[in-house]
Amino acid sequence: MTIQINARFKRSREFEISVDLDLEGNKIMALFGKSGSGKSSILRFVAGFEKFPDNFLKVKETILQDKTCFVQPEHRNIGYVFQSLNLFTHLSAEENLKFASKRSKAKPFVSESEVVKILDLKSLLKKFPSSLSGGEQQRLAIARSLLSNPNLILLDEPLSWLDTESKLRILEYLKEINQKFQVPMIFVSHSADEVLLFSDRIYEIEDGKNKPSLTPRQFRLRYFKETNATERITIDCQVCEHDPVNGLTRLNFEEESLYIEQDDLLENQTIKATIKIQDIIITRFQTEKSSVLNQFSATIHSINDPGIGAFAIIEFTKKTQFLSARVPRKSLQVLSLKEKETVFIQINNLTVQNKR
Amino acid sequence: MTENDLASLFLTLKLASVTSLCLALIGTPLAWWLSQTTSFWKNIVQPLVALPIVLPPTVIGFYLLIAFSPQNFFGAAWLNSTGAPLAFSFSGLVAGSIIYSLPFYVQPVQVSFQSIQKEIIETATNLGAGKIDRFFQLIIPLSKKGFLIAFCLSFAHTIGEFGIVLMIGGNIPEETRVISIAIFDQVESLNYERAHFLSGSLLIFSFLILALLYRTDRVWNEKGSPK
Repeated sequence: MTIQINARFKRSREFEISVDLDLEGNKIMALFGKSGSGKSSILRFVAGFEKFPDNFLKVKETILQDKTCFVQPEHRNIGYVFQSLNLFTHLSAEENLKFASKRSKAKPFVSESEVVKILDLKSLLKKFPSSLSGGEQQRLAIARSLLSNPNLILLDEPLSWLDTESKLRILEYLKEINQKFQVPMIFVSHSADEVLLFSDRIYEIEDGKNKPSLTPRQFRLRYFKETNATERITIDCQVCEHDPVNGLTRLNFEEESLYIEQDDLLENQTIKATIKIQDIIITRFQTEKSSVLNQFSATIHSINDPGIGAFAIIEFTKKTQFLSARVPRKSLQVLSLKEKETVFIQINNLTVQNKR
Repeated sequence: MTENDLASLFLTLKLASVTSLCLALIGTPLAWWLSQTTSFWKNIVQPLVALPIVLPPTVIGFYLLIAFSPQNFFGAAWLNSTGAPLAFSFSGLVAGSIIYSLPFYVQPVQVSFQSIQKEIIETATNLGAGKIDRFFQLIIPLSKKGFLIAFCLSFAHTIGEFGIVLMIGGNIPEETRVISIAIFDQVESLNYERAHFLSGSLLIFSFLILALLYRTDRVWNEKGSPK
């Protein structure tokens, strides 16, 4: 586990933070939620500014806080781009960068000139923060945190001041930093677009508590309902055997048999089958007398009822894989579906891109 | 200008400089503590620091005189360790001036410290700056305006001091006869011409200090300070 956070503390008298978050590999974790939901308090905890007993924090191999230890914030080597940016107004842009690099004890993974070039700061170096625009200040704040050579970067709404074009460019650059230098990041945003574009693992935070984590794909299904109708999902299957009598090929999907009519697939190879989400049909009971060949049981992971319109999205788990179905909202009531229940799903049509 | 006047002028400037220096050393940590603490003691210390603003200088002078007396613990301890009494001495004047000008130094500095956003300090911490490092590299530079005001006010205020000096310092040439006492002296002896000269000099000097203060403040504002 690269990052493990178990935090329970009162931010104020009425507001309690209670989260258990983790991140595998040096990836990007997003904390998504409305303002005031406690996202920034979690970042403050990670940075070491919320000192409460009985919490746990591990970053890479280092335990930064547990029952017996608390690493002071100045020794944590965590980069933190605050929402308010907090540039030092008595220093020029260049001196702001130097403030970070001079105090960094770690081996630099980026040079100042590289950061300056990529974040397009060259013409600003001699200026003071008060004469920079919002976007320029934001780029400077990001650059400064990179130059402290952190083990982990915390980004609190880092793109709020930028126009769409610079937003995309900087997200791309941050992603490159993440991959090239294996620096994990925790990214706080209330913008579903940014979260989807940038993150590998997404936690929705509500009232100081986290919901189960989502992959970007699950996140897209949940928050981008307008694309429902044409949404497709892919599942991994193994090719079993061809049945020339019926003109079908049998696939193995998590120990269930699926049949397709394609006959040019190599046996034993793993393939991706694509299903339109409206082609998945849900039944309470297994229908033995049905023309639909592809039937199996699956567990309801979540029901995403938008509360308006005709359709809802249901996500299922089948062992380690995920499926999604677009069903009429009326059916939710007729079948009285609930999360964690096991139901049967029928797949009307699936297609395979043969990779030869 | 007579030799006596010159001596008074020099003594006044010396008193103001030494007082401001001592205030920087005592007042800065005190202002920092007051700006950060949530302790109960702030309720006691904060009004104590402000007391010289509202109290008549003669009251402060009276109590200081009593404290300086060798019959009391403080005065006796001073006499034992230095061999000279505090009352009617230059050192006594410095001690009195520090107390008298304390609020004029502490309050602007404290306000400046308080106006620094907590997150700015946290950002410096996050970038690896420790306590001392943050204080000298971040907090002091960001509070330069407060320090400028504090220096000018406490300096000018010490120069204009009269009541306390009269109570604890008396009128000893080259030891305690500062310019305000010298003016009083000249007026008493109906020597208006000398009084005019000294008063006029003090007036112009005070005006220049304030003009410089406001000018510097303006220049710093235009150069781009905190948004």
